[in-house]
Amino acid sequence: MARKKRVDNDIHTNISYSQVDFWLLLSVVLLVGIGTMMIFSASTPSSYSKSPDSTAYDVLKTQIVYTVVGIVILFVVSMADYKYLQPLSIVLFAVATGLMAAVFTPIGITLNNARRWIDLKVITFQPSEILKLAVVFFMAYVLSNPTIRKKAVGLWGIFIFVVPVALNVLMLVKQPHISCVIIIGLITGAMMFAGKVKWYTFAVTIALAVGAVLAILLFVKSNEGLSLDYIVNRFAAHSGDAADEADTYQATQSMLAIGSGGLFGKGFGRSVQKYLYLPEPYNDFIFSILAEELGLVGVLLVIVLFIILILRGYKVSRNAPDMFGALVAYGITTNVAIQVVLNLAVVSKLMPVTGISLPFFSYGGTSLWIMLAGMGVVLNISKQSRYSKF
Amino acid sequence: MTSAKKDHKIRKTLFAKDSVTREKNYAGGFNVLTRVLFLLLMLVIIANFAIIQIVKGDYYRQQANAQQNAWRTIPAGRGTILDTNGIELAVSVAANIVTVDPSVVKSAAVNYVKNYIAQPGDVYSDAAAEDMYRRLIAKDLAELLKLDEEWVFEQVSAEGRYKMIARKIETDLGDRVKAWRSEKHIKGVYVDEDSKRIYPMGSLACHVLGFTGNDDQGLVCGVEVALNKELTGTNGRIMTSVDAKGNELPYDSVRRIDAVKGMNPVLTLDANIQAIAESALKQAIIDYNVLEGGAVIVMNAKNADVLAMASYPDFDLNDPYGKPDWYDDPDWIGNATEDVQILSTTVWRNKALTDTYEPGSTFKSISAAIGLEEGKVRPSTMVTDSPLILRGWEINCWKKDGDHGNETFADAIKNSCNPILARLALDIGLDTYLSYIHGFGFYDRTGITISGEAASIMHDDPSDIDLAVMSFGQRFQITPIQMATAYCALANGGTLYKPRIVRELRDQDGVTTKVYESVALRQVISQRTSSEMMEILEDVVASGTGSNAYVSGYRVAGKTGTSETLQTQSTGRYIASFIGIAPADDPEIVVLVMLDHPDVESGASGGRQAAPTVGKIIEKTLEYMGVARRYTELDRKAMMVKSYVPDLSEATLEDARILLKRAGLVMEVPGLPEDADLTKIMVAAQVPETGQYITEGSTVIVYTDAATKRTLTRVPDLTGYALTDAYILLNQLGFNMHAENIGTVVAQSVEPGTMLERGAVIELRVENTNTESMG
Repeated sequence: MARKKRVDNDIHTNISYSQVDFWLLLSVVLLVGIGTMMIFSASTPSSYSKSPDSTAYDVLKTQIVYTVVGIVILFVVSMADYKYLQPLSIVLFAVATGLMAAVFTPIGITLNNARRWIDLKVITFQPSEILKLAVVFFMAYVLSNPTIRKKAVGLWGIFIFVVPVALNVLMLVKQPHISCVIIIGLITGAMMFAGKVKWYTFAVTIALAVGAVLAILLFVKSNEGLSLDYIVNRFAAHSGDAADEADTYQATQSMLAIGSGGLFGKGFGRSVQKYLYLPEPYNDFIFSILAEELGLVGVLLVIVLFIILILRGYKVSRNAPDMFGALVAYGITTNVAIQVVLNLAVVSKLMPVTGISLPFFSYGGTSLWIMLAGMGVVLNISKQSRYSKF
Repeated sequence: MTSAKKDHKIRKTLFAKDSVTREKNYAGGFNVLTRVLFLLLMLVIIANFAIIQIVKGDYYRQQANAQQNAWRTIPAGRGTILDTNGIELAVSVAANIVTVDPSVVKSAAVNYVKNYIAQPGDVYSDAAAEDMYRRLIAKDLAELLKLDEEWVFEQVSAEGRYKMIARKIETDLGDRVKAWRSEKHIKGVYVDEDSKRIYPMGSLACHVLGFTGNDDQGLVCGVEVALNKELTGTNGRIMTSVDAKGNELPYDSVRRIDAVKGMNPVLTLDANIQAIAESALKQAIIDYNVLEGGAVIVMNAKNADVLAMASYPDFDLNDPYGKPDWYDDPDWIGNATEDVQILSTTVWRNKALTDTYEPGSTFKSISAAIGLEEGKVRPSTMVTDSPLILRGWEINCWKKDGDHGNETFADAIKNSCNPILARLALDIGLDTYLSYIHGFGFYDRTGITISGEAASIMHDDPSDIDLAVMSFGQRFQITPIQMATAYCALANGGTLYKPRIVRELRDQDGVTTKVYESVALRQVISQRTSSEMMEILEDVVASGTGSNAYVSGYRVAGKTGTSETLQTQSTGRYIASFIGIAPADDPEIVVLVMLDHPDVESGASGGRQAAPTVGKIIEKTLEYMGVARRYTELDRKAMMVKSYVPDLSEATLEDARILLKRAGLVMEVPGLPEDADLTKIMVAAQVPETGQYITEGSTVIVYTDAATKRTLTRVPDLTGYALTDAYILLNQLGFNMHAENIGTVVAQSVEPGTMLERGAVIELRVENTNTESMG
């Protein structure tokens, strides 16, 4: 009756400080491992053909450094008690907002008609990645702090969290970074639901959001040539209205990659589509290369790992010792879920092409670190689970 | 209470304690909703991936392959055509094909010029570099492959991928191109396998085999056309995976789908017999000044397998478009329309299949067999050769001074009397007669597996006059293959077979994959009629019109035929034919010879021109087949005929030949060049010397230089041999023989073991015993 004894112990101490959630940790580690492998396979051709001096391993080398650092971050964060982060939530959000604004200062970088990066000389990153996590913490804080919550669930919430978040969203529109706008919007909405704000607060927020979208679209329409019109083109291309084949090129090549994988795939490293057919094969479309090389079997394996990760994440939220922890775990998990669903929908042509990366898979340092930092927090929450055996 | 239920209860208690921050404000319901929504979305995504990868997988794979792969074709070699003994008659040998990929040439140009041409400081525009590189490739390739440089340059500069530069080049040359390519670091030029059709025997069986065009497909005639599908293999591919810029991928980039060679047909045709038939036909064409060519068919009498089929004029299969020797045209191109017209009406024409002719008297055997089968006549029946008058038309025997009078039916065939056969046919009756003609297959194409067979031309609605004339083979036309096939039925006991020329198909490992069985169509006449016909036809050769087909030691049956053609009136064009069957008592082969327009003073005659040709073919073929000679009384009598060896000193070779021929002897001149002028060369020595008698038909060796080294052969011990066997053995060794009578050898003039030169005479003492019985 070891099991029963443990439960009794829980009741007495009220907080278990048990082990971290094993399945969550396992799925994260496996996904990061598979992701790094896939980056190696998918990046070799592009890496090789980048410049005369480049080798096939350039991208891989960088990503291995990112991964190692990321795993360290994961473990360090998972050991720090998340409750100490509670008062830091506001600071985090303020810093994120500041960085968002800094994009438009001279340290910001413009790439492919989008100003999304900050160059800090040692490191180049997208503040929007930090913003996603910051919004989760910020929302969790204002909706769990008993004093603020009283106001925040009501119409005061518009000023307490909607306006600050909207400010960042506007900056995202300005970059432009529409996919991130969608993610931030969905995260905010999910946090409001989970935090149980009043229905009228919700209604007003939605009305404001719809109004803002309409206003922006009108603004874009009267200012032809603005960089935002690329998103309009992408949607048009998806619905088949656009004559420009270049817009559908990426999606078509992705379908060819996935389709030619079949049930068992061509074998690891054997993708042909990665040979400059599919643009950015190690970035947003890395999953297409995985589908081509590992087939439906590989696709199902990775999807099942993501499902395990996300369901365990929600379980951590449900069993969190306090509301802040529950909301943070919920928000971080939902962020992963949104990105997974949107990325897979895009690569398999269920949605128009928007630049949404696949967590743990797509190339890049900041996004991986922030994802792993988030998972570290969830793991820490799972450690303090009130009822780990359910 | 189970532990699960207990746990649940505990949990409920716990939640109640912490009601402020949990349960009421977050998680719970929405958490469930989020999970359900997430799982639903994932389900849709999984289903979508399954559809893309499994249901529509082939569609996307094809599309992907189309953009990812470029390929060069490896032409499949055609199957090898083998004769019945496995001798290769048509083979595909390895060759090379040279292609260029203009897009690779283009992308390699800049680096090439930078690395191998440009001096430090030189700057070339991309366009200039491309032009230089293409020019260099075009110049070298054109020089190596003997092509027009401008044309190669166009190919190298073309749009698209893989342009063919040269096909069917020797592999040596292909190797030189490869060497040049690696020496000069050229990219974009490929040397791959190709195959080339070679006919190792040159013109042998040219009409039976046919030839192929540039596309390796059968052309015009023969087995190459008839079995084109079976001979054609499956082309292979060299697939190269390319990236979006058209460069070959660094790994795993070349995949080969090997070409599969076509099937190897094995013919019933025997190259040795074919050679015998062809050389006999050519000799006849020369000897009898045959103007319109001729045809020979040698068939296995037992099942109508074609052992040889020759037609003249012929052509070299390795150069089918070559100008025929007799044709005078300085503007000959070969594949020009008018040239092809000439080729296909002359040298490419398989007269044995394509030319219809009036069979003439050779058809009398058919009429006679019908009469015997119907019981209208027996070989011994007395018949009369008087002219037959039918509706005002008079049918006479060919004999100019009167007719053959009363004779047996067998003699009537021997003498080839027209009125007797006409009367017989009328007696048989039109319907019965025609049903046999159908039965012998004269109304249908034989269906032999080589293309170009003509249909016979028969009377639509024959009258009794037509019938009477038909009985001796006039006023209708059939093909030589039909006639030879019908004679097989006459010879083999009455079964008509479908003539067969392809026996089986083998795969590349030599395993038989398909057998073309011999097809017996029907029994046309009885075994008895067949045997009676053989006796009658053997008589034709032994003492009748076909005596020139006589072969010592083999029983030959046969029938002559001299038939008119449409041009007989204007140009005197006759067709001389003979069909021989041997051995008559157990037929192995049927040999048909047809000579179209022999232009000789004595006049065209199946007996005089075709019969000796058939005789030669039968002799050599049976010898080759190992059919033992069995000398009859007739043969032995002939063996006793002696010839006096004439004095050849002071004579030219031509004179010597005539002298020897008159004496019934044959001249052999060792080491004489084929094109030697016999009238200019003098005889220096002869073996045997003049003054001796040797067996008629023996060979006298004539030397043009007395110092020529003589071949010495060991004399065998002949005691105890039957004379005929001794004769054969001595003949084979090159000796001549003299004996006074027939019987068993008891002594010989030269000790066994002595070395003697060729042509020397060995006298045998023979005692007449009963040991040598009739063959």
